Amino acid sequence: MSTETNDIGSTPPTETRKVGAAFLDALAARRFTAARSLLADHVRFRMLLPSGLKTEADADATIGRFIGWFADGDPFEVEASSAGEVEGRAAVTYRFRLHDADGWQVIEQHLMLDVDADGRVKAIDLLCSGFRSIAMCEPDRVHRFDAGNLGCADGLAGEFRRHMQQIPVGHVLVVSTRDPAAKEDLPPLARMMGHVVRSIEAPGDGRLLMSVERGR
Amino acid sequence: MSDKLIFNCTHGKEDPERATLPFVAANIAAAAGQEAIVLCTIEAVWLGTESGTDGIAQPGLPVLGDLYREFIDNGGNVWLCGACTKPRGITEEQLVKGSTIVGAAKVVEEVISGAKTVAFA
Repeated sequence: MSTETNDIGSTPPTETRKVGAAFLDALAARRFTAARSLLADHVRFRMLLPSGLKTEADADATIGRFIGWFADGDPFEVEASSAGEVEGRAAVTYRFRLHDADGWQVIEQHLMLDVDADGRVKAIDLLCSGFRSIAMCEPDRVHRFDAGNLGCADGLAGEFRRHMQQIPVGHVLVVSTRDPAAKEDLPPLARMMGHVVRSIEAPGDGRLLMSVERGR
Repeated sequence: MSDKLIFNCTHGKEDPERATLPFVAANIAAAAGQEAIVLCTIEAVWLGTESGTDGIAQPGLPVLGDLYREFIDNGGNVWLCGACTKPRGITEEQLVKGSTIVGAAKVVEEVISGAKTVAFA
């Protein structure tokens, strides 16, 4: 799991941020009992979901929501996450990729948390993307290529073409790069080679992830 | 179809006149509402970094630092050749507002799409 902190300023971690980070760690590891122990009994939980605004008013119901969302995913992967603080409120963000009865899906949630004097979460405001199907992401159709720091003068185009030619038409190559020029170059390279750029993501750790479907 | 105008700049501090002229032309294009880009290659890649335009002033031409900022304010963009920044140790963290490190494929795709290029040797 890649957890990064993104506090503004250089003050030491506060209790608020530590609680937020601990809640994130527990959710990402699906240790729901540990996550529950960080909540005040009468935590106020407001959720803005694709279906509308929902609320819960106690810790068991709150953690029940997370269990309902994430307990059944298999596999369950953390694509990106961060925990920080905005002047007294903990800010937690994560994106999970999981497989369940509905196939492969990705979900992103943003949480603002208020922490009480006892170090427990007394309020959570959550914004949720909903479960988004990844149509092309069946495991046997997805291939990966870590381009590392290859840039345009280091053979990036040739290596990218070689990897695309190794997968069948219709399959997806997920390319990871850290080179700044490659981040700008890979989408046009893919388009010029007749492929389809499915998604471009910046997980926040300096990499760019691009999913390309082989078009020809 | 791309309407971009790409002005190539190949010089930095070592030749203030050659460093400044592409920005003069590109800034006129940007001020006229055109989508203008200065493509910096070779020593010109320093122009998109912190302090990279410091002290570059050719008599009879605008001070390059001021011109750079005016160009960006007019909606212009500066592309720094990735094959030129890498051997010079220039990273994304060193860039100033308006500059981006790009690779050759991005330029080639724009040209294929109809962008026009203007060379300043």
